[in-house]
Parts: sequence; C-alpha cells; structure tokens
Amino acid sequence: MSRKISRRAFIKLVAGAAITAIGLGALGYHLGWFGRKEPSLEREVKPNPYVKNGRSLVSIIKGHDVDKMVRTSVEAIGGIDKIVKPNSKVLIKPNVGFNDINAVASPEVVRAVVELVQDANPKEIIMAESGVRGYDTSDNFEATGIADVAKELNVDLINLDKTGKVVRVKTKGGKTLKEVKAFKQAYDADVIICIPKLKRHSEATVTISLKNMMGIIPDDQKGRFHELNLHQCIADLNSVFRPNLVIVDAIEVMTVSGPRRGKMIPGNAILASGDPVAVDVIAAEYLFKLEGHISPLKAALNVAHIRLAAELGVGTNDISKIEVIERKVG
Amino acid sequence: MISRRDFFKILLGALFTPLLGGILFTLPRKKVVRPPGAVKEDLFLKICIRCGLCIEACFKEGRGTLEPCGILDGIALIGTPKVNPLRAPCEALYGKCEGKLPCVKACPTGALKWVEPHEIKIGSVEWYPRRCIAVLRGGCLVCAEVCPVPGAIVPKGRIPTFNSNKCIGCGRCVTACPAHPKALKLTPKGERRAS
Repeated sequence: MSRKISRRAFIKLVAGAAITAIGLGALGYHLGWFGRKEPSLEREVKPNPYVKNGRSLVSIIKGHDVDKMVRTSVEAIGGIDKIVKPNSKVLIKPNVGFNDINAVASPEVVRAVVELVQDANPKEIIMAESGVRGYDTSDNFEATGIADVAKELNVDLINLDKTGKVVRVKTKGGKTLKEVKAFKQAYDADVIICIPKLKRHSEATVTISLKNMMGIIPDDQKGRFHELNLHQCIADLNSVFRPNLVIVDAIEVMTVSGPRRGKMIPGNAILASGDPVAVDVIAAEYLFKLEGHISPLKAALNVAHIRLAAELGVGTNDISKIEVIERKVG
Repeated sequence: MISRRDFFKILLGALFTPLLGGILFTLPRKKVVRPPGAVKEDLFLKICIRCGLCIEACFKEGRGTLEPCGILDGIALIGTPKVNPLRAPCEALYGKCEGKLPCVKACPTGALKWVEPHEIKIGSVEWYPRRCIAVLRGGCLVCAEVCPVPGAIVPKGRIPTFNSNKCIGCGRCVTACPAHPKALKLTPKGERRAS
C-alpha cells in the first residue's frame, strides 16, 4: 500500500525544499562555488631597445612623403628589427576611435607602418581597436578607410568590442588600479605597435601614445577610468601594456580643442620612439608649439598622465635623458 | 436554460470588459523616443501594427538601439519600437545609417516615414548635474567628446553645457556616460515628427 501524503504536507515539503535550494544557491554564489573568478594574469614588459647611452631616442621626421617618413623615422632610432622578430606576434593599435577622418590615425600612415612590419616578416600581425564608446568600431574602420588598407595588405583587422575575450592583468605598481581588464588579443601580443594621432583631448589634454592604449580595454573599463581618475588610470594601464614602438601621426594635427572638431593645422611630421613617455613629451611639445603656446615644453611636461606615467617608470620625461633626432625627407 | 443569475453575470461581464479595456488604454503612457521618421504619436499608435520589422532591421543593419516597448511604458505602447540608448546609440545621423535608415525602409505601414538627414531630431538629452562626474569631481567630459553634433554639448571650463535645440537625440552621450547612475537621459522633448 502506498503511503498517503496530505496536500498540506506536500506543499510544506516542496516549499521547504525550494527555500533550502535558494539558500544554498545564494550561499554558493557568495562563496564562488559556481566558477571562481580567474586569477589575474601577469604580463612581461620588454625593455625599450631604442636607447643610446642611456637616453631614449625619439625621431621627428618632417616632409610630405608619408611612406618615406615612416620608414626613416623607425630607421633613425634603430630599425624595426630590434623589436619585430620572425617568431613575434605583432599587434598594431591605430587610433580609430571615431568615424571622423580628422580624429583618427590617417590610413596612409597605417599603411606605411603595416608594410614596414610586414617587411620584417613576423609570425603574426593583427590590427585591433576598440573605439570610443558610442561609436561602432567596425563602422569607424569602414568610414575612415582603415578597413580598405587592411584588406589590401591582407592583415587581420579586429573589432575588439565584438570578438575580444577579456582578461584581467596585474598592473606594475599601479596606484589607482591594481589590475586592469584588457582584451586577450593585446595580452597575447609580444609586440605592441601604437599609432596615435596627435590631437587635443578635453580631459586628458592631449591624446598621444599613452592615451591611445585605452583602445585595448573593454568599454566598461573605459568608463571606470573616467569615473576614478583618468590620468592615473592611463599611467597604470601603460605600466603593463606599454607599447614597444610608437609611431605618431602628426601629418594633420588637431589643436585647440579635441578629440573632435579641433582646429586642424598641418604638422607634416612623423615621430617614432620606443619610449611612450618620451615621445609623448616631444609630440605634445610639437602640438603646443603649433598652437603658439609660450612655453610648449613646460606645458608638455605638465600634462598629468605623462608625468604620472613617468613616475611609474613607463618611460622618461627627463629632457636630458631624451635624444631627439630631427630629419627632413622629400 | 440559463438561470437569471447567470444571465446577469454575462450582462455585467459584457458591460465591464470594454470599460476595463478603455481604462487600461487611457492609463498613463510614458513618452518614449521613437525611431527617426515616426509620425505623430496618436497616429503612430494607430498605424503601427507592432510587427517588429524595424527593430529587426535595426539589429541587422544598424546598431541595435530599437527595442519593443514593454508593459511599463503603458499598455497601449506594448510592442511599438523605442530608442534605448543604453543598448546602443541611434546612428540615423552622423553614423552608419545616415541616408539609409533601415528602420524606415523596413516599416510596411508608413508609421515610419522617410526623412532627410538634416531633418532628423528624435529627441534631446536631459542632464542630471547631481550625478555628473564633471560636477562632482571635475573633468570627465566624455559626453562632449563623443557628441557628433557641432555645438550641442560644449564644455564650459570643466563642466559640459547642453544645447537642446541643437541636440538630435542620437544618445551617444548617454551610451558613453560613465556615471552610475547615468547623468544623462534621452527624452523625446523637442522631437520632430514626420507629417
């Protein structure tokens, strides 16, 4: 004979079981039974190979032939072979934050850099970017002509917002951020080549290589940077994701206001360096000079994120430890 | 044979059902931001058949800002499209949909009508200074940075100022605003409807 159970007892039983399950679930969630957070990763930062007698080399090449200028700029500091080896995975990070051609790295410069890297014949080259929030990175690629360059030269162009997996990486002595969320493609790359556009920025004062590295972090992290303290966060990010080579597009410089609708002044220059802080100082000085600032160097050294990055040892902002190589081509 | 009691029940039911429906449909509705080219609201609610084709087109060809209204927006609005900048901004102007408007092209009934790019204004943005990082701490200005419209958001010193006449309501600033909760909200204030 089957044991009969009253309706009341049955409901009690079910309710009891449900409450226990919910309680256990909540407890388990709190203690992280269902998939613990992955531990944050370490990333090795390679020393800058472009130095001479302990001074960081920065080249500033003026002229009109973009391809020649890019090649000369990298040759002047020691050549691409110093960082790009046959087994390296290269990440090219152009500034393609907007769909406005004035606010992004020009396709000609990107083309010249990609060709230069392709000549060194590394194992893998990818070009990746995560644009400014509110702008579709794929649309930015199309609208600015970067997509055509990638297609012609047969380089993988990655919209990190869509395809990127996010990892957490420990910063090296970061003051505001102990760890930073970044896309896996950037973490995997041995060599990061940064192609910033020389322009003004409303909060960061200038956007050069250090600020451009914000394009390898996901959107929520970008928002957090602004919420916490943008300048310190940029420095913290660069302590671990330090570009190995920076090639600054200063062909058309956005001055006075930015990062959009600034006053465009032809700069006709390309800057290159292995030291992101040093090149940012020199490039910012160049920008302020174009603006007609009274003491451009002082203004450049005063930019908070450049100073803070130097304090973290990302590079040097000591002008006596920077050697500027100026040349003219074409 | 139907009893007297049942007869009265049916009669009362028949009287109350349309009354209830009427009440539900006149319940307060939220003013939602409609896709570009929407006709006037009363007409829109009559013409729109809630097919969701514009929402689908927005996901496929646009950025995916459109979503169907839910019960919280008002019973009469359920299923009609609205712009939600928390999903993505509207790219109808200064973006990938400029001159294309996939949502308008997908509309089978004419609830969304073709509009010329310079006539698009789907709303404007409202600012809550108490939540704004620029007001609380200084700096930020992400909204001014991402705004595609010249003169709509202008930084005055370290604080943004908003010009709702120039704002087209694309919602880029709302998407990008890093404050929690967001210091900006997209409203249909000042919208320009198709006629």
